Amino acid sequence: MATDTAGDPPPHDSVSSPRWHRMLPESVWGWLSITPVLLLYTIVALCPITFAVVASFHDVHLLNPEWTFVGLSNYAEVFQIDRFWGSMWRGVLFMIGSTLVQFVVGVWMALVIDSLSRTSRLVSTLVFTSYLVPTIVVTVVFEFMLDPYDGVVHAAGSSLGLWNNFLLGNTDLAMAAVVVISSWKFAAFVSLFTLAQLRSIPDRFYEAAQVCGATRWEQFRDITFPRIRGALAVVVFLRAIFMFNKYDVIWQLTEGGPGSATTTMPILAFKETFQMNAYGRGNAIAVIMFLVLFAGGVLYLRAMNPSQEVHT
Amino acid sequence: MVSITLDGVTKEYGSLTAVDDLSLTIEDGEFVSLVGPSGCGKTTTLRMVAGLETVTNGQIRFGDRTVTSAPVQQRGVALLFQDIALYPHMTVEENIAYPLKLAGVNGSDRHERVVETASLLQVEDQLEKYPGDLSGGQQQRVALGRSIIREPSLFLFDEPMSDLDAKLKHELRPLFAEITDQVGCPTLYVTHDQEEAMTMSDRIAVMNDGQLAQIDTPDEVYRRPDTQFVGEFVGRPAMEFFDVRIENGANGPELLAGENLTLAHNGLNGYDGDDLRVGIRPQHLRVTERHSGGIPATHVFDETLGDRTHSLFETPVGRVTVETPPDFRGGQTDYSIEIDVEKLSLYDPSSGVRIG
Repeated sequence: MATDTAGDPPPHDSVSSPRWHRMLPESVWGWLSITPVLLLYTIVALCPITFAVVASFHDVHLLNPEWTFVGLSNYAEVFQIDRFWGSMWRGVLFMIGSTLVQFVVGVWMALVIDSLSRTSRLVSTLVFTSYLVPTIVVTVVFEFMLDPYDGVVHAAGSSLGLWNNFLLGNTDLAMAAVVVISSWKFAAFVSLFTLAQLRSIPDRFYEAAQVCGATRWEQFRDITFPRIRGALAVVVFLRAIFMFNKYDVIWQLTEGGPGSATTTMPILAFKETFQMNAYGRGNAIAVIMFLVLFAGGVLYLRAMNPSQEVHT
Repeated sequence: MVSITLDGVTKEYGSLTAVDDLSLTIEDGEFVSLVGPSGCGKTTTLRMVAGLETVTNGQIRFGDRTVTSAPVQQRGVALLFQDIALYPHMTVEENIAYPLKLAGVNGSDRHERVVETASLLQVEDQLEKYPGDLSGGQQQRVALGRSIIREPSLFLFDEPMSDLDAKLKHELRPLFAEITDQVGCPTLYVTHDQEEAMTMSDRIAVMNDGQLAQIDTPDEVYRRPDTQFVGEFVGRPAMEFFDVRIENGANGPELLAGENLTLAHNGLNGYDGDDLRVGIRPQHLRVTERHSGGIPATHVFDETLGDRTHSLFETPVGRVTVETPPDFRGGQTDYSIEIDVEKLSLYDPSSGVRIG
């Protein structure tokens, strides 16, 4: 069909198919049209990734332009770092903790917004602006609210006896605080995702269920949940990856401290690279993070199979 | 099982009155259709009976029990939607069994009753499939199965066939009639399709603008429409209406239209000097060669229907449709139309209400 049109063009069809268009076979046009994307992807993603992987096999001192090939020894060293397994464990803890908080709060907000009124957009708009607030603003405001002298959250927490001094300086509680603060912003992401799916459920489904005698809880169990399950599986997947890679919030709040209480994998990679001046080793950590995420992601998608959840 | 009573039911949305003081009783086992044009309040009425819509004023009773503000779940109604509303994430079996699952019936009893219901509806070989794999007609059968599996106290249909094609409608119509008969509870069937209402119902309730215009057997509604609106809405082609003045002529009362056009002679004793609006079915008009007696008419075109023809004529009193024999072809020439005065319905020209 495609080659037919190219080889034997209709004589008076110059408007919809100009001459220059007909001079090349359709497949060439196809490749030409995706070239910008391929180019962009190569520059933005493929090149840096390759660069990082190559760097991870070299000994690179930041102040020395000479790269020395060292094979896998960076990887061997990484596993020797005393904080490596601790950071891995804290990274996973941070990922699970913050994803869980965002999931619970986000889904709950979505359900509330959905039940308010299907036409009122004001509340949902307000909720979603939290996603637009820059991370640095979020962290600065939280630092301020946690200030031991005049912070309102500090006053509340310490008067309830939850903590005494600066919360983010507390070795036992810093991780929990970072989890909660980093979830504040991203719960809206979960809400946005869930709400879109909730709005796609026809009112008829609920009416039919009520006629069948379903209570509110049964309607949620038998209609709402099965209908949003696939979207929830995807949003958990996305949030978990984003949170495992999260660097900015943690660095701005604690720089991985106190001690190494909030040092997750990305913080460790940053410290190795820029504080220990070991660019190769930092990249080796990044590559290991990628492999861990990749393996986790494949296992998760195997188990949940979100695309199979949606029957239409 | 019991009768259903609507007593002065009113529904207002702000300043808009969707249903206005509607009273209606559906006897046990009776099939009542609620027909009317879009926006006349028929679906709102049904939704109030189901409990999906609150009632502004008036009462709804199932037998002696007042259910006006009872929640949907406690009314025990079966409801079939226009858009079917099967759950796409459940199999056909799970869909049909859903009311039983909610009622706490155990698995094996559930399966037994699903198979029983499904075979009644001829979908027993579809139980494993998902609704998305079924045709529209099969989906509506499954939805019917879901609604009857838990012996309802009232059957409600909300235009269940308006999305289906003509062939499926003819297939489902007897099935609906048979099933509702078998279940034996009162049935309220909402439709905008007057043919559906005529063929299936014991009684037809015609609604217009939130109000009940007429409720009677299909035959009575067709033969003696209470208002001009009902005459125009029920029956195809629609009833024709003429504004006339009755005057005594040489051979008795005559129907005069306009300045000096005589529509018919020898009719309507007792209305001397009155202004009336008369309605007549196109089936009761007759086309003849042009002569001085009838309404002068010029043929416009024919709708050939096989067993009959609907012919449109231009006359001094407007365009008129006449039902003509199957082989009638007008050929755009001149004719006369004669009115069968015996078959006239008489209406008040200002209110459109039947007077004789």
